[in-house]
Amino acid sequence: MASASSTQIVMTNVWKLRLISMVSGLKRAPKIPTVILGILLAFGLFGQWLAPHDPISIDLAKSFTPPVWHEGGSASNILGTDKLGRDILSRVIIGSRVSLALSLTIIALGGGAGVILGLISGYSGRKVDSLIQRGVEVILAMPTILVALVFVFTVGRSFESVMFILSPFLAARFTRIVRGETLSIRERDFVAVAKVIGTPSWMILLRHILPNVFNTVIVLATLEVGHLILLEASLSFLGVGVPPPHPAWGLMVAGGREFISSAYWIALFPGLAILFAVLSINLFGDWLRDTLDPRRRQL
Amino acid sequence: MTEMSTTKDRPILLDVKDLKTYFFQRRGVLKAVDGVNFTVRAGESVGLVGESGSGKSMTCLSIMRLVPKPAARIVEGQILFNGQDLLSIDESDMREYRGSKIAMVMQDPQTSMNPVFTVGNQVEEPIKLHLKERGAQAMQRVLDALRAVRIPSPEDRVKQYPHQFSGGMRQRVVAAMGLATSPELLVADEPTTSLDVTIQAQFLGLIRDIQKEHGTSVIWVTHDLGIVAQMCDRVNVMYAGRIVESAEVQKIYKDPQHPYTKALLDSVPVMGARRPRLYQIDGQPPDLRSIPTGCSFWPRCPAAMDICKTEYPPATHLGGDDFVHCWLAEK
Repeated sequence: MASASSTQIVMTNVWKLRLISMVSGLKRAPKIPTVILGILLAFGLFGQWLAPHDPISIDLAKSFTPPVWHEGGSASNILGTDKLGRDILSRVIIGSRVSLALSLTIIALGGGAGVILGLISGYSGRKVDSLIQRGVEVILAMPTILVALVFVFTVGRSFESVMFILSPFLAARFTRIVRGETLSIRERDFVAVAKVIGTPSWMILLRHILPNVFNTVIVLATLEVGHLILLEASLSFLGVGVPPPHPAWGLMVAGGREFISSAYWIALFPGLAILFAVLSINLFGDWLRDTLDPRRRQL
Repeated sequence: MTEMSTTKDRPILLDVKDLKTYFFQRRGVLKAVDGVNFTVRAGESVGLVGESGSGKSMTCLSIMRLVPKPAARIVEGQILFNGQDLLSIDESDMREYRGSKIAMVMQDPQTSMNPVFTVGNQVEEPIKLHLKERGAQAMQRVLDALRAVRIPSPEDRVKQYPHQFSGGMRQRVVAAMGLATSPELLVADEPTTSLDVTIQAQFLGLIRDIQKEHGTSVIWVTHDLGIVAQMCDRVNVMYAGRIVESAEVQKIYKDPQHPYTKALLDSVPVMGARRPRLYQIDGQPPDLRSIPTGCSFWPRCPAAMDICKTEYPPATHLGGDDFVHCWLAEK
C-alpha cells in the first residue's frame, strides 16, 4: 500500500509536484500583497466592466474635480478628474492593463531568453560563453532610456515597440545572473554525480541546474517587474511610452506633474498604484522564493 | 581474506595501460597521471593508495573520462573495459558505460545530492537512463536499491529531500544510486573520509556484502591503509602520478618491496606498539610540474643509489599481477 502511493508521488513530474505545492501553499501566501496583486490582476482583466467611467471620454465641464472627500468633490468621480475631466479611478484601473501586460510580456520574453542564454553560457565552454557574454556587455553598456527613446521615436509609439526595445535589456540582465549561478552550480558535486551516472548534458542543465537557479530567477523576475513598471512609467513620462489617450500610470503621473500644487490627485493616485504594484510584487516574490526552496518550505 | 586466492584467476575486467593525464597550465605541464598500469579482475577489490596529490583521483576520473576540461587531458594510454578501449569510443557511447557498467561514489555526501529533488527522484535517475524503466517498475528498483544499502523504511524515505538525511545515510543513498543498475565496476573515491569511524565501518561492511552478492569489482581510492587491509584483494601504491608497487594485500603488508611502500606502512600508528615517535617520510611529494629525473622518489628515499637519480626503474614482475618499480628489486 505504502509503496503504491509513494510510487505515484515520486513518479509525478517534479514540476507538477511543485505546482501542486505552490497552489496549496498559496493559502499561506502573505495576505496583503496577494490581495493587492489579485485586485490589480482583476483590474487588468476585467477593467472595462469595473471602471465606473469611460477612461478616455472627455468632459471639460468636470475638469479638475477633486476627490470625493474634498469640498466640491463628486460621488461619481471618487478620485476626482484630470484636466480634461476624465475619471482618475477609471484611468488607474484601465492603466493597470498597460503596466502589467507590458511588464509581464517583457519578463516572459526577455527573462525566458535570458535564462536560456545564461544556462548555455554558464554551462558550455569558453567560446560560446564569451560570445554570449560580449553580446550581453554590449547591451548592458547602452543607456536603456536613451536607446529606447531613439528607437521609439524612429519606429513610432506603440505597445509592441516598447516591448521590443526593453526585452533585450532584460534578457541581458537575466543572462548575466543566470550564468553566474550556473557557473557555481555546475561545480557542485551532484552535477558530478549526474555526470558519473551518465546523464546527458541537456538533462543536467534541465534537471539539475535549472531547478537550482530557479529561486534566483523568481526573485530577479519579481524585482524586474517592479523595475519595468517604473521604466515604462519613465518612458511614458518622457512621451515615448504607450501612446495616449490610452491610460498608463506613468503617463498619468507625467500629465499630473504640472498641476501638482493645485490638483495633486491627478499624479498621486497613479503614483500610488505604481508603488503598491511594485511593493506587492516584490513581497510576493520573496514568499514564492521561500516556497520553492525545499529547505525553507517547512519553516 | 579467504577469497583472495580465487580472484587471481578470474578474467580481467579493467586493464589500464600506460595512462597519462596531464594538466596544461600556463606555468607548464602538470603530470597528474604519468604512465599508470594496473588491472582489476572480476569481483576483485583493488586499492589505490598514496599521498594527497599522487594522482589517485585523477586516475579514477580518467577511467570515467570525466577529467576537468579543458585544463586536463588524457594524452596517452588505453583503458580496456571488458576488452573495449574506453578512450576510443565517442562521448554518447561513454555515457552508456557511466552509471550502468561503471559507477562511482564520490567523497562528499553532503553536496553530492541535488537539494531540490526528492531522494527517490534522484535514485531513479540512473534507472530511467540506463534500464529504461519507468513508473512503478522503476520505483520498485529504487526501493530495492535503498533497501540494499539498508535505508530503513525506504517507502517513506523516497519522498524526502536530501537535507532530511544524515551524512552517513546520504553516502549510502549515493552508493545506492551507483549500485541501482548493478554495475560491474564501482569506483569509490575516498567514500568514507567525511564519515565518522562507526558509520565508516557500516558503510564498508555494506559495500563488501553487496560485492559478495553481485560480484562487483571495486576500486578503492584512499589514503587509509586500514581500509585497504580490510577491503582489498590487491593494492596499488601511487607516487607522483605513477604506480610504484602493485601486490596482493597480504604480501604488501608482510613484505613491501618499494621503499615508499615500506615508509607508508611504517608511518601508520600501531595500537600497543612501543615506538618513541611515529615514523615520518622526510621531505614532500614532488611538484608534479617538475618531477625529478630518474625515480621520482629518490630525493626522499633512504636507499637511493646513483642510478635512481638518472633513470626511472622499469617494472620488475614478481609473479602473478604483482610488480614493483625500483632499482633495488631489479638487481
